[in-house]
Amino acid sequence: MKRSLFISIVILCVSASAISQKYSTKTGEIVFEASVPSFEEVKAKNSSVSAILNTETGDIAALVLVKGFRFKVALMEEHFNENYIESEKYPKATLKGSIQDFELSALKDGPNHHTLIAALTLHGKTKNLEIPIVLTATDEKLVLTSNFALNPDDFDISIPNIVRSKVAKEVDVNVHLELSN
Amino acid sequence: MRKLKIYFILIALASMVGYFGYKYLYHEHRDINAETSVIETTAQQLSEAYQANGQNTFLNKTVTITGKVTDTDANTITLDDSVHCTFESDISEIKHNTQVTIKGRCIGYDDLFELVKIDQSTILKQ
Repeated sequence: MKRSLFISIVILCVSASAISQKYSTKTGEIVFEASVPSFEEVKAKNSSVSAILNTETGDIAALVLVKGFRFKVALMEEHFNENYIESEKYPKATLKGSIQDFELSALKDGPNHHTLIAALTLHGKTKNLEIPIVLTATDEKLVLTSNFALNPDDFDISIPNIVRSKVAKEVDVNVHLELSN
Repeated sequence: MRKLKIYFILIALASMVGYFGYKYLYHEHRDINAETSVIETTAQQLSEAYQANGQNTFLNKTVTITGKVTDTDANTITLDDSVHCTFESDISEIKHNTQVTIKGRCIGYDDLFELVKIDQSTILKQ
């Protein structure tokens, strides 16, 4: 009797810790920039990125609501939504992947460099990517930052000739996620 | 004399093109707070509408939502565990477990957390 009670307590504890093995955020930040020197800045920021990291497996899922990207120039924001990213048709961008060689207990102080292998879906197109990421563990948070380049052509996003010279060919993407338990 | 007149007209035209061109290129962002909401509802009902009608329900529309604050963060609140609102101003006066009404812009449905997301929120009543 005592033994079965002990076992059930152990099972309860294990399952409780399994549930708490998720680090997440609803207010992650993504900034992208495709500026060309001496032309108007092409830059937007989204501060409501959702992401969940399973610290048991290193699996990560992220979701960006495209309408949440804010530009400095209102007209640029309209064109981005209507002509390029078509946010009425494709309101979401998602990422599903796994951080390679991830182990929460093995994280050392300071920046930890890892590779994230993930499928990114944007503008209705999915592409597999290898993204370099940096993980920094603080007291209660796990901060994930990343900087990588995307090619709009890969996602069937065409930039019309008239503005081609004013928009960079490669889009620089900066990610900052403060994941907490 | 006639030449002068032509020049004058040309300058007037050019400055008009410049003025309206500039106004078009650099027009203001939407002022969500000044817009009229397309719907006034509760957090629960908005979430249900999303689940029933899909992703584009109220997308990019201004909405007024009432609900109980179930979570607060630096500049965000969650209403009835179903609507997540982001503010651009300080919201430290909003207290947990109180009933509030906010106005903001719907940016879509977050499947990961099962939340409707609102940005550019302002408080109407608390």
